[in-house]
Amino acid sequence: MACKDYEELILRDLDAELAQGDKPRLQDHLSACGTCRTDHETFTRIDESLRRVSAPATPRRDFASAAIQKAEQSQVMAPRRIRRRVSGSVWATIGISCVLLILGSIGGLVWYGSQPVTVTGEGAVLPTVKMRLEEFRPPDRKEDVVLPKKKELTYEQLRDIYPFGQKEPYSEIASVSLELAETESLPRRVRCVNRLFEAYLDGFAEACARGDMGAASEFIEALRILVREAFVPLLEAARKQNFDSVQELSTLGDNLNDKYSRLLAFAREMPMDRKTEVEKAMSLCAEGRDAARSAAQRLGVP
Amino acid sequence: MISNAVLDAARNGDRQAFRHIVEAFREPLFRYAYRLLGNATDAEDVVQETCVRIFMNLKQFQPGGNFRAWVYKISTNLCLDKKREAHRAAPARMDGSVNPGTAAETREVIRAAERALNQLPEKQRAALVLRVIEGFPYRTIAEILETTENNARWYLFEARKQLKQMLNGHA
Repeated sequence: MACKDYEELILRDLDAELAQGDKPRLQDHLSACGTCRTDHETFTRIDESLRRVSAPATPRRDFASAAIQKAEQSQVMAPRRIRRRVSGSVWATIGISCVLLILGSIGGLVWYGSQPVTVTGEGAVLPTVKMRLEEFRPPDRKEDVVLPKKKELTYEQLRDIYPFGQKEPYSEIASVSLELAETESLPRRVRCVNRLFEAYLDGFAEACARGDMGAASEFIEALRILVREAFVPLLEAARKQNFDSVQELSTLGDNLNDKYSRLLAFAREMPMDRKTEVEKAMSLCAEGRDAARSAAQRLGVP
Repeated sequence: MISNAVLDAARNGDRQAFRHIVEAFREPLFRYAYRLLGNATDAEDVVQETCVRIFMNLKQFQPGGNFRAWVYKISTNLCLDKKREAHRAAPARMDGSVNPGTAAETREVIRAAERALNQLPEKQRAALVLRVIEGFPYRTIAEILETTENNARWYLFEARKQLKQMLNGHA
């Protein structure tokens, strides 16, 4: 295990959530590795300092009375409902209509529930699917690919170099993207990572629809690394560097939100055993969306 | 800890019971809001508005649910709204003081932690305060921040990493 992997164990230890089996492993590593030991001490000291950050004395205000008064005022200010006398026959008509409506709805639900769930075909796949899973599988060509200078990488080159199906390259994509974030062509790099994100998401949707949950999990891992190690830090870098295409960040947020909504619709079509995977993808979309929106918002997009 | 009897009484309009709830939450809520907002005036406003919302929505609270988490959720949402309102204003600065009698070096570290905390993104900051200071479990933090447990963990992970970077040389 590399030091990076111990970081998570260190943080779990701080939260007193370290599994019994992991404790001796972490202790052994800490006694052997000075860097991680310092990290552990630093994190512990940070937590202690935070607990000691004091606040000014709480104002001796009668919050309760003020709250009651304000709540009552707002109730008085609220428009009162006008009650009109309604004749008995109208009530009877409304009652019968309600009963019929409820019976109809129950009947409809029973019928819908008895229908088999179909998840194959284009209809079950996200409407934005442009890439097929096969396109992510050019591993045979990997040896032949000559790595260009990282600065000159295009999205297509990235895709060729880092095909789907191999765990390690995902983190490489992330680190390459982070390095690219340092270059001057940041907007293009943000778009590049976004397109990779879209591609993995499409691949995920197809794998889910096929019922290939192994592949779906691998796509989730790719999405996770892209969002957490590349996309979110890229947006943060964009914010710090005063990314000039501010509107683009905002649009990016909207796009990711759109994908989130589609995944939501997609999740409804999935059988129960596949819903968890879709929820994971949704949560990653939401993270990307929040990061893009927050970056855009901080740069002044309302 | 608010007993179910007090909660039920407050839900049925008993003002004394409501006062009891406010008294129990007044200080922790103020400290929490202060840590999220970085200034006492806004924190006081948030506590006041939280009390109003508790009073008005108490009947909607599901009996058997986590009342403390419910109250913190209201307060967190109000703090996040407040931060958004103040978005274009100058960045907030902590105006509190450290405990008297603390050694100078430790005091400097605590001040640095205050400043660093103030620079974190809102949700990361909330997650950090809820976990490290308020001691909520991740599941409850996720509920308060209206996100998944994994996201809550990630917020905290990122917050700690960023604090470590910011406090490099202090902690």
